[in-house]
Amino acid sequence: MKLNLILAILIIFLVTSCKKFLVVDPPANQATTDRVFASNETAIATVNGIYAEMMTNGSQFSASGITFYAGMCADELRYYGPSERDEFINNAIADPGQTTLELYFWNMAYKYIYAANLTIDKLNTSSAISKAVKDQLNSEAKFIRAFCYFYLVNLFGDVPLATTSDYRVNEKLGRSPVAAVYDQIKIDLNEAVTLLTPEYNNGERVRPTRWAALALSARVYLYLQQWVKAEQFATEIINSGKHSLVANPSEVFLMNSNEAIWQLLPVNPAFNTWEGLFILPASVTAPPTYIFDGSLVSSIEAGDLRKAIWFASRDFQSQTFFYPSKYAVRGINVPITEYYMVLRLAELYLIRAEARVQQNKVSESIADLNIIRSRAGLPSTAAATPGEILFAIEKERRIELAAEWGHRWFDLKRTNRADVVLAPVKPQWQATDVLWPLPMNQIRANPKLVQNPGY
Amino acid sequence: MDLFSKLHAWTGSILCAMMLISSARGQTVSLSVKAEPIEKVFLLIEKQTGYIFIYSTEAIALSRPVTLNVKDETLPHVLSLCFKNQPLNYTTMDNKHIIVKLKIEEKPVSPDRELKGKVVNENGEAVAGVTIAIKNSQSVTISDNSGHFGFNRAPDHAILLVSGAEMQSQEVSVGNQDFILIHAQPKLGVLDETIIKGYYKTSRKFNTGTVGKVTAKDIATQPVSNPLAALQGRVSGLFITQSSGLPGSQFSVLIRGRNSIQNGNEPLYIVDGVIFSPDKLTLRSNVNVNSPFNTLVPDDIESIEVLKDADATSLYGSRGANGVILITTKKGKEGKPQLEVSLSTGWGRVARTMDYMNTRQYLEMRREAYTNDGMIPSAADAGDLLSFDTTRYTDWKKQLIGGTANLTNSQVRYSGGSMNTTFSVSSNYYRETTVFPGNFSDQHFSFASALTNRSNDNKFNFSLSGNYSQEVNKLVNQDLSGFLKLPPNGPALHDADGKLTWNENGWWFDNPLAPAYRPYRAEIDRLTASSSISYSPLRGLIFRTNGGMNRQHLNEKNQTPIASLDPTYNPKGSASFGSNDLQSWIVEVQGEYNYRFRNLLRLKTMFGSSWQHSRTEGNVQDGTGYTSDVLLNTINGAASVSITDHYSKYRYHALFARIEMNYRDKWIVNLTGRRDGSSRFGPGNRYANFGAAGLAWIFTSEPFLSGNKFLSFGKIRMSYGLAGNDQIGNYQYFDTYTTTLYPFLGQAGLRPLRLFNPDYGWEQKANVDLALETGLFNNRILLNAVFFRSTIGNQIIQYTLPSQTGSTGITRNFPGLVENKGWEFEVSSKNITGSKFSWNSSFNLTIPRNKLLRFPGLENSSYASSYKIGEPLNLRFLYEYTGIDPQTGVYTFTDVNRDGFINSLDRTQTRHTNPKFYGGLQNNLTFGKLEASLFLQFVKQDGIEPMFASFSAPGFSSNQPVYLADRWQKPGDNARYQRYTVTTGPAYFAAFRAPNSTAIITDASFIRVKNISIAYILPASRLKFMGINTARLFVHAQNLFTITSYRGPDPENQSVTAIPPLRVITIGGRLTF
Repeated sequence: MKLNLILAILIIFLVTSCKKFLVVDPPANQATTDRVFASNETAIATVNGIYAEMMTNGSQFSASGITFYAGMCADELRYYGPSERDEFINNAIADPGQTTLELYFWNMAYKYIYAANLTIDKLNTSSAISKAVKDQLNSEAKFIRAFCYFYLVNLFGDVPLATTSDYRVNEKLGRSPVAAVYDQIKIDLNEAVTLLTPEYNNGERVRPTRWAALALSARVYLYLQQWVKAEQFATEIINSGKHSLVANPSEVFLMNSNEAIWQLLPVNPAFNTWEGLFILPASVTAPPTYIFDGSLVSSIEAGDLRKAIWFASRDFQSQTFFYPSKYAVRGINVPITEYYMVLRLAELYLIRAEARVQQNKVSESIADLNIIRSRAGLPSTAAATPGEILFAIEKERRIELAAEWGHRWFDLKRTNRADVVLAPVKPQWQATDVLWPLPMNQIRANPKLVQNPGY
Repeated sequence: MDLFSKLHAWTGSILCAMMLISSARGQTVSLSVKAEPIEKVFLLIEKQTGYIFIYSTEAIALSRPVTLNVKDETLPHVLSLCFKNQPLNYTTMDNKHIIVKLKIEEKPVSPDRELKGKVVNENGEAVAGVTIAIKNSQSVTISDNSGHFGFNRAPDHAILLVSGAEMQSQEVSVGNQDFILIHAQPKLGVLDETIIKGYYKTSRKFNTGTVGKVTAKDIATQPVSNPLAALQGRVSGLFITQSSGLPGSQFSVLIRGRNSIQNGNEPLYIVDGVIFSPDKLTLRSNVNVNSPFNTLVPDDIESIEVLKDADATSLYGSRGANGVILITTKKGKEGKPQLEVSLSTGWGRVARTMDYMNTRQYLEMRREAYTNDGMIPSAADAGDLLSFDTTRYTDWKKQLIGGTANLTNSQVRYSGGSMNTTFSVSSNYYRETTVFPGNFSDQHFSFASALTNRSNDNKFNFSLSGNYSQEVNKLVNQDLSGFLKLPPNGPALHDADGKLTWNENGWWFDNPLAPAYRPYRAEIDRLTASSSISYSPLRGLIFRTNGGMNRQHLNEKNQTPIASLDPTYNPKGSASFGSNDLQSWIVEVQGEYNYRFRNLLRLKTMFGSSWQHSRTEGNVQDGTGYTSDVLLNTINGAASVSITDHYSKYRYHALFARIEMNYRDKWIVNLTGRRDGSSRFGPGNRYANFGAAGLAWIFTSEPFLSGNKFLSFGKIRMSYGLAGNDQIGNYQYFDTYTTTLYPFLGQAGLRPLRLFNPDYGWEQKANVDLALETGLFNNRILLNAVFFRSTIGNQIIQYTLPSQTGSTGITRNFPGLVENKGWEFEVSSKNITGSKFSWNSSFNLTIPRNKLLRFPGLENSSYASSYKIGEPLNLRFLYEYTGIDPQTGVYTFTDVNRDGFINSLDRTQTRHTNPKFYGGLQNNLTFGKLEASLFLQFVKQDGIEPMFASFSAPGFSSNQPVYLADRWQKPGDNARYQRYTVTTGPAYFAAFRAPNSTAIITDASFIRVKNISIAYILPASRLKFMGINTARLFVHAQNLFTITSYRGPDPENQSVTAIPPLRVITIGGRLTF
């Protein structure tokens, strides 16, 4: 019986002492969320991480995707050679199962929204982070959230509005109306405008500042046709004295150019921007990848300084192709001289011109438009009536903001001119094509998501 | 390592406790008898001490009744009281037996005297009917029912010849004793072959589970460097495919099919009790080589056991679900030390390939493509026609994979041992080159040692084994098979300066030798050591501790010199430096108690506990921007460096127990259970219980069948049990951040990696086996049939979350259910047994069936295009291929939903490539000194036709298989392949759909002459003068040829980018001194 007793003691000992044995530390190259938000440095790194990630994968919406895919949907860009991109060019996305939309747009945007939400949630409960850092990170995270929702709502229409990091809540969300999404964007931007720093740290324009929040706000109110606010925010930036139009168009897209309000930092040390890498021909004989639509090139007035610099051309198989060359550096393993421009001053002049003419401030509007034209070496606009001025602004935006973040596509949509402009040039155009289809896998994963009409 | 010392302290205290118990139980006696016969007193003492009295009836007949009253007295004291005033003497022997004999007056020594003795078996029981003869005399006797025997006259120092029906014959020298105890060793029939089931052993006869076994004999005839290769086709239920013919290539191993929908299906590997990780260590290798098994020397392996059913695997609990492969290495054997030297050398060549077009056929294809499309070849797209020399022909197959790989294997082994101690040391050198042009090789050196020792009284047992191996892998870091599609009229590979050619007349050329200019070197060291100590304080009770450790380290260098790159683009060099370290240990304590109740019931029990730990840590430094090839050996020469590191830790703890009951060798019940904990699961879900029951009925032991001439052995067995699978990777439950790939402004960035998720547990497999095992004609023919069915539930899947959550999925248990069922048949027969000529055969056949039984909500999940209820897991969703449109000459597919587009919605046809049945047939022949064996492997399966699956649209500037000539040329043609094309028209898009259509499915069944071995044993008498005991010369051939109708290179790996398994022929010799 002694034996049994010893065995019993032994077994109890073995069982109880082993719970602890199975507790393993997290791997050294990962950190638990609670530990991350126990110090300022690691908390800051969670926001730095978002900026780095936004430029890590080159095809995603934040690194080139919107420029290319929204550009192809509009009368702006074409892809040289046939490919599955044809369905974007023809606005004939027949297969909602196609994965570009999901992988590069939907998933990526929500990934950054989640990261921002997680930072916001954890900052709320963390006691270890200083007030100043908390305010800064909170407002940067909210800026990023607003930025991502801005593109989601403009590409897809109604979208799920996740404002927490809890997946158990988020997985059950259906689509929120566009207005509700914009309401959240306005709340977030408002807080960002209040709390974000007005200073560019060390001259680097790669973290969002108060000016970035104002610039995005101005655009949001322009899209919402709240002209007063759009004008007011644009004016605040234009008058800040922190920015100026760069005289030579070839210097606009350089790193920390004085025109920049917010640029994304190319984090891959091997090359400059993704657009430079993707668009510029690989060799002196190779064809370009993305080319400008002929109607865009032919609309450029004679004497426009921008044409030679931002619209490069290449003769290939006895045809001349124009392709975007705002980013002039393709090279691999060359020093980084260009950052990826997200928000810049020229757009604010054009926003204000439009907001002003909509309020019948005709001469002030013409003045803003002419500032952009004069930098391009063009004479003052001949447009005089509000209607003419609006067309002139639309045309100026198409050229000034060409191959930048899909401006042309969004302009056609927000001014309800997509049907008028695109139907004649795209035989398969349907009115419902202004919204992209929701990715099929997402509808599968969340039955509450209902597909956009037309798909 | 404080845990280690803790464990050792525990172990020590257990042993101390046991010794105390033993002295308390074993050595004291309490008796109270009154005028009882001495035999009864003996019985009482036997019960209390475990000693056995040995005596003759004559002696007892003269004894007097005993009266005794003692309490807790020592045995010697009690014995002295008991034998007081008796005409008897007693002596104790080997702590087990007490020999009682009559007091005999000293007689003068005479050459002939009376000799008595007793025959006992391993359990000390009397054995009757044994024949005992005195060597060189006529005296013969037979042991009686009490095992006793006697000779009236026996010479001094006689030698007894002992033989019996169920025992091994032996010679026993008597010396000057006049009573001798003979230990009969049971005769080992084919059913007595030991089966290792991990924590315990059993025999084929009494096994209640399904275990396959391959022994050193079958491994030795195969010229392979990876022991897994030696198992191919030899064990039913085990399906192994080799990924490529490169040295050290990885093998895919499945025991009874795929269990887990999304997680690992790899069996658990155990080498001498230590868990062996099958994951390769290399970090920047582009070819699928460096299988860690390559460092295990096949020559060092004694046996490989494959545990298949729940009865055998439940004792491995959470890791047993995919089956267990136990590898046991050679130990020394009792006997004179023996030196064994073997040397072999061999040659390997690609056995089965596919013929590509020659220049004439290729140019015909290209020109026809242009004609078809109404195009004229232009400098922009037809450089192969306009810039390359169209009269030149290079057979890339011959040039790139047509070489001969050389194999060298040498092994020296010195082993031997005495009664108590055995030892074995061996070292091995193996080198294998490739069939590619260039100096590439994989070589390893290994050193293995094993030592065992037991105390004289057999109470302490100790064994130690250690193995160190070093592999140096200098293989090309890209399989050159991928280049066979180059235009056959491509330029010479080197220019006049000996530099790589990159174009001819301005047309670019993908030089296939470029990879060969990119040095790759991986050095892998592996150290494995294990030890086992056991102590048996009482008869039947054993305590044991096992410990083992394994350490693997990798140093890897991978360079891309500027010289290997096309200079047009002014390239820079790059280099990566990797290091990877795997460390693991295991500590186990276990106790065993075996009890025997007369001849009725044998009980074996065992309990134990296991602690395991493993850690992987490593990093890679990738340097880019090297401006000079001279600097490539140092990371400091790089213009920019990026570093990635990884780390993971895994811990595991288990308690396990087993009870086996054997009733009259007729009924055997085996119960096993295990409680497992794993660090891979969240705090609430770490532990789970697994267990199994096995039952066997040996019906030939029933009286109505005993002695049956035809049916010599028959057993029905069944088992049911649960095992688990935890192959989901580490840390899945932590919510963590990890660093971003690139820093931001010089500061680290963090990105969320995983959601917090503590709520998932093990995958669980329930398995039933039903088997009939029979032996016919005195077990010359053994027939086994097994039916198995397992269902694996609680599947852990990456549950798709809508990505609006920020994550595309989360690990969740899911009520999906996967079924594997099938039949396994094994037949072995000794067709002819003679001293001059013998022939035996063995055959196995497996008919497996894998099926997804349940997957709630499958239609609406993102897995709707991956799985289907009622179909196997390896399923392809394909377009329905409807042949070639006779008018347009283009592949056509069914537009299932008739929406006018062929898109992913039309991929509704399902096909799988699981084997329908497979097996092997072995024949061994011996003609005197000549031994020969032949092994055939066969698989019935569907496969993938590479023409449809792996080639671009026919007509473009990429070479194609010769059989593509069967193509559409003009309206009305009924051809197998579509029209040639060079434009991105309908034919081009159809060719892109073909790989996802039913067109790719083709028959890939094969019968392969897997192994032929011929050996000649040189007459020993001729070699004696050199000290050679035996000499064996052999020729081994592997993958000699294959019979198949498969339209592709090799039906096993079915790849056009990896070379197929090689045909290898080796010759060599093995000498023992």
